[in-house]
Amino acid sequence: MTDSATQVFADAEEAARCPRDEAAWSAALWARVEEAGFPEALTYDESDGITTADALGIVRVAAAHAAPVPIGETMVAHWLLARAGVAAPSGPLTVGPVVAGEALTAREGDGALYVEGRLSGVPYARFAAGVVVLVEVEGRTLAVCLRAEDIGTEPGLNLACEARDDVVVKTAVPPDRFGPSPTDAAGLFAIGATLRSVALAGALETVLSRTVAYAGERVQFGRPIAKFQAIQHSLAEIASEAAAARAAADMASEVLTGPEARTLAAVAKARTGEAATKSAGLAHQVHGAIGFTLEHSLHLYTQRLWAWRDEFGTEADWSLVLGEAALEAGPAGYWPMITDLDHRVGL
Amino acid sequence: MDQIAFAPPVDDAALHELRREVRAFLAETIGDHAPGQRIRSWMGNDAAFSRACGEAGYLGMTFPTRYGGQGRTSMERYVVTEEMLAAGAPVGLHWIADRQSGPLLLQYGTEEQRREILPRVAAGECYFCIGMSEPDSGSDLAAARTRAEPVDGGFVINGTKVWTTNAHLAHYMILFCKTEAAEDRHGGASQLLIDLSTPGITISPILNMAGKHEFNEVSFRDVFVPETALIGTRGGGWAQVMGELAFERSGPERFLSTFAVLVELIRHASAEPTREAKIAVGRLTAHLVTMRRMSRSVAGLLQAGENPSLQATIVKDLGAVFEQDLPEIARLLVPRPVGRAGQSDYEAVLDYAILHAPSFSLRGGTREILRGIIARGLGLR
Ligand SMILES: Cc1cc2nc3c(=O)[nH]c(=O)nc-3n(C[C@H](O)[C@H](O)[C@H](O)COP(=O)(O)OP(=O)(O)OC[C@H]3O[C@@H](n4cnc5c(N)ncnc54)[C@H](O)[C@@H]3O)c2cc1C
Repeated sequence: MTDSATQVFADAEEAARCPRDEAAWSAALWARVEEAGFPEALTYDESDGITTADALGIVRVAAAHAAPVPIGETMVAHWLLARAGVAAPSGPLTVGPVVAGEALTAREGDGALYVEGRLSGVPYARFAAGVVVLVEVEGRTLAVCLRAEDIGTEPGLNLACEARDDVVVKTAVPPDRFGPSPTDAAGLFAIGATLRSVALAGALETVLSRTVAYAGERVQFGRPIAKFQAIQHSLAEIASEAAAARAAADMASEVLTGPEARTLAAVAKARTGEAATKSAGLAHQVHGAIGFTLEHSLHLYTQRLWAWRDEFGTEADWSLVLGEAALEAGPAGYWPMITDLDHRVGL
Repeated sequence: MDQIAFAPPVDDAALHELRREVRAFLAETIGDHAPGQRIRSWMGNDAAFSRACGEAGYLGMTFPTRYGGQGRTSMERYVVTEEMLAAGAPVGLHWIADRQSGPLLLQYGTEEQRREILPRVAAGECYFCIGMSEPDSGSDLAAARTRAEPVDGGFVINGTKVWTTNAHLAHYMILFCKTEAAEDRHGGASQLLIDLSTPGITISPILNMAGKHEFNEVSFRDVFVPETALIGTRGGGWAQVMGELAFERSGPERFLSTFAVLVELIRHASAEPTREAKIAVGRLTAHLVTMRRMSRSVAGLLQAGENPSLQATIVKDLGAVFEQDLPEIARLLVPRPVGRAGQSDYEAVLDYAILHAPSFSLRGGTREILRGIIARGLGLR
């Protein structure tokens, strides 16, 4: 799976380049993503031999190439719709709400579902064929498929020029476009945190390999800067941070629902966010001025690191969640809380 | 960059059962230990406890049964050791023997050495120390000068080892020394199994800055040991000692040394939880869970017969930072009173951790040496 993802996304980086005030997007790349069957990757079950971790490996590889397409969001949207028993539209999809505390209002009547409100920062909404939103109706969480024609979008961008748009809705959704959701808004937020953690780990791999390569090429004082011990130690630190990010993201990507999923998403987002901050700074230091230019590709990755660490909860937000659980567990319950995270598998 | 990927760790119901068993054992044996004892953990010594571990089958777990072991897996051993460390059990006496000297003898020792030593290690009755560092050879281990001159029927040893943890309590040392001249600076080295009661060996205490007698100077003056003391191949000591270091660097003790501080911090912070304390404890938790994942993955790779030395080095480097950060974070969240009269559990734990923290990025290979190894793994050297 990651091999075919590496092929599909190999040339994605060029498409990620765009003027600072525009959103990067590649329809051609999206066509290849669909051809490879990636959007449905989370809806296969283990009997297909594809685990959630395998599926999210695609997201990691996409991020390692700065691919300007909502592959993670589309995979999660397909999964929500499949579980809700709703047919998915073809094309790129996205999900909402993505900001903690935001919600749409919804009420059922005459067989339809009336959905209204505004969601902010929805990834790639302006390019999406549909937005899958979760709403609460009488204590139940419903997954609702809003088509492009059902919504208005107001363009926004994150720090890395990825589309993060506001979505405005006031529509009646027919019964074949909504159903019971496998998770609630808090669960979706945690899944989003896992998506971004996996992506952070992917971008960190590229930051590491590009920085190692650059240090081997750049000559100062008559030798490659990679021969200087200070540079070697900076690269070793990036490697350790990237390794920790990968381990944390891998762990979270093994399980997407249930109480452990939220804790592992918290671990992953807090750890990968910290790794991102540290590594981006070190990578720029090793690259010198060239890495600070628009022309050089380093910023495609470091800007994504900086943007993604803030999406679906910062390190502080998720550390708070973990800290609350830890203090709740207390001195005697803390270690068992840690080891209990070992046993869980699946969606 | 697959070298930075850590395979998912092995996990099954038998491991959970074992974990429950170890917890019950620890509640029984050290349930009444105070935090000030627990923080010592793998520097804490208790012969009765070591014997109890042996009786329970928790030592030499991966040794074959014919050598008194349990024939169990590295993951099973991992579960037992991390439970011991998390509980701050006094595992110091048997620690080195169980972690690295025993496995080294199993791999390279003669049949006689294995039969004589391994069952005693597994019983928790035989302790080891590591004779690598010398006054003029720390990070640069290959510069070791201690010589074992081949003579009729054995070797005559002269030289001095330093920083030898627990030499004053151990029965044996695994000595890294030069047995012959060689052009290659890694050549001519060997490892010898030294019975520390051999005449000519002097063990003198070196107090650490906390005032504790943990390490020593061990000098050898014309010490004769028989040929049978040789471990593995003569002149092949460098490769062997590198393998030994992989055992020394990969375990959970490399990030759990100050775990008792975290437990005490949680005890104090949960009385009146502030947002600041929650975020700090949460961040530490994210680090801990991630490092456990990496470290368990390394144990799995060892079990599969692979050589995860790069991954192990990464865990140790990150682990030392974590162990050193912990007391610094705690002291700002829950300040300790000035003055040492009537020391509370919290202060005892914090003081111990602060005074020992500098050693975490020295022992077992300094931070700079570890980062050099990682850089080599990245192809930079
Ligand atoms: C608590 C404790 C217990 C110990 N127990 C044992 C034991 O049981 N047995 C044993 O054999 N040893 C033991 N040691 C010794 C330990 O292995 C050494 O301290 C360690 O290898 C470093 O050697 P050194 O202290 O001589 O420092 P040095 O090697 O002199 O290093 C001093 C400083 O220079 C740096 N440095 C050295 N070389 C380089 C380089 N090439 N590049 C960049 N920086 C460099 C080091 O990183 C360090 O910062 C113990 C040490 C401690 C602190």
